[in-house]
Amino acid sequence: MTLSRRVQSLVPRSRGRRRLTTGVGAVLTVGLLVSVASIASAEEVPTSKELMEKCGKDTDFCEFHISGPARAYLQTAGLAAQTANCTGSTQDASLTWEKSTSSSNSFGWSLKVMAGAAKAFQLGFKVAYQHEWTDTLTDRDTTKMTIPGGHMGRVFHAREMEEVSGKYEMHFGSRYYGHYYWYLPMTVNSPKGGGNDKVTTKSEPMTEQERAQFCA
Amino acid sequence: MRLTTRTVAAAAVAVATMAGTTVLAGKALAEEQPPTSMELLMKCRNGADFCEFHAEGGPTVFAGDRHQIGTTLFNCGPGASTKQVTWIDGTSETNSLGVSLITATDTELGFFSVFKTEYEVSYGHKWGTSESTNRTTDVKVDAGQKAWLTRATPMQRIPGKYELHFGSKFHGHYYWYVPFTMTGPAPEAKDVDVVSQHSAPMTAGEKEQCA
Repeated sequence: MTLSRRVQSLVPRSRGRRRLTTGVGAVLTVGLLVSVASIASAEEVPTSKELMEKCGKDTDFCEFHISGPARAYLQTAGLAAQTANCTGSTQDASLTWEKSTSSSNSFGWSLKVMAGAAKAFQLGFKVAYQHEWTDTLTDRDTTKMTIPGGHMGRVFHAREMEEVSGKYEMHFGSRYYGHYYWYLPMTVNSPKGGGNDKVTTKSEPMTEQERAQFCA
Repeated sequence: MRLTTRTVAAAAVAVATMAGTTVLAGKALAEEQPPTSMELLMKCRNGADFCEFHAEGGPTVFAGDRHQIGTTLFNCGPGASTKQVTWIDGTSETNSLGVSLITATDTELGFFSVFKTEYEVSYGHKWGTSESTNRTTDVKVDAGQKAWLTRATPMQRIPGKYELHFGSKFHGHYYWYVPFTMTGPAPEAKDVDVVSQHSAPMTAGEKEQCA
């Protein structure tokens, strides 16, 4: 069997056209391990973006395999709305807000415009958990709160999230960067479909800086 | 301050990459008129072999100018009253070229879609060309006072540059880099999105209107 397998470890990278070079330890070659390993350090490998662009387009096979159960957690609360009460009266305020929670992945860039890779992940997710994956959730509400004169009123919101991990498996009909098989691990954090969310309010006296910025 | 016009900045960053350019470079400089940034960008999906936008340093979020939203409420009294102000506030994108694009064709404007795709890949959501928010805000006004609302529209600035490669020399060079900054709405930037409630005593002239 002459097929070689490679696991490319996840490397956060800046955008641009820089290529990654894997260390010898990252190469698992079936067969000529010694001779391949010796040249591997200088070998060019595709970027994760280049690989993902091939998925479902120039591959014979491209699937995403989920490993293990999804981990649910509540995201760090983020600001949903804020009002500066520059008047001298206490205001019974209704703060209307809209906040979107989007998915992110360990690549640091979005798969959204890469149809093949996005579809393979969504299918892998559905197979593993028997329900559709949620990419973005938008929450909207009106929150009532009392804001004393000279105070800032703030509404915070946190959404229940889930983290899933797995890896892409890709097969090429002809060698791609010297290999027929490529594996690429990925972790995705996304809003949990049907999950809970939490709203909190807080009213605080304005700082000098806030007063100058918002009340002038 | 939002717009920075760069007309021929592109000329300064042209890079010749062919062998043998040493001799030709002096000649080329004298003979070739450098293209404007706009001429170059219009080649993006319209003649260039390669055209990408590289963002530099991620979006910078900032608050636009603070301005009044909705109407001013006057309370002629007696007693405090709470009223609703319904307001709409919006903004649109601008770019650092600051030129009118009305006469350009869709193909010539391909560089905008290159920017938008790059933005979506980098930040996971679509670039918003324009944005408008409409809300209703309750304001309590004491007798003899007037009240109004202000807001600074949340904005974002994405600086970067286009990289263009040409199959045959364009104005003497195969590679061109064009600095470009896009500015647009940032509806998700809650930290700079502050609606302020203001009040002040009514002036004598305003009180006369009460009668």
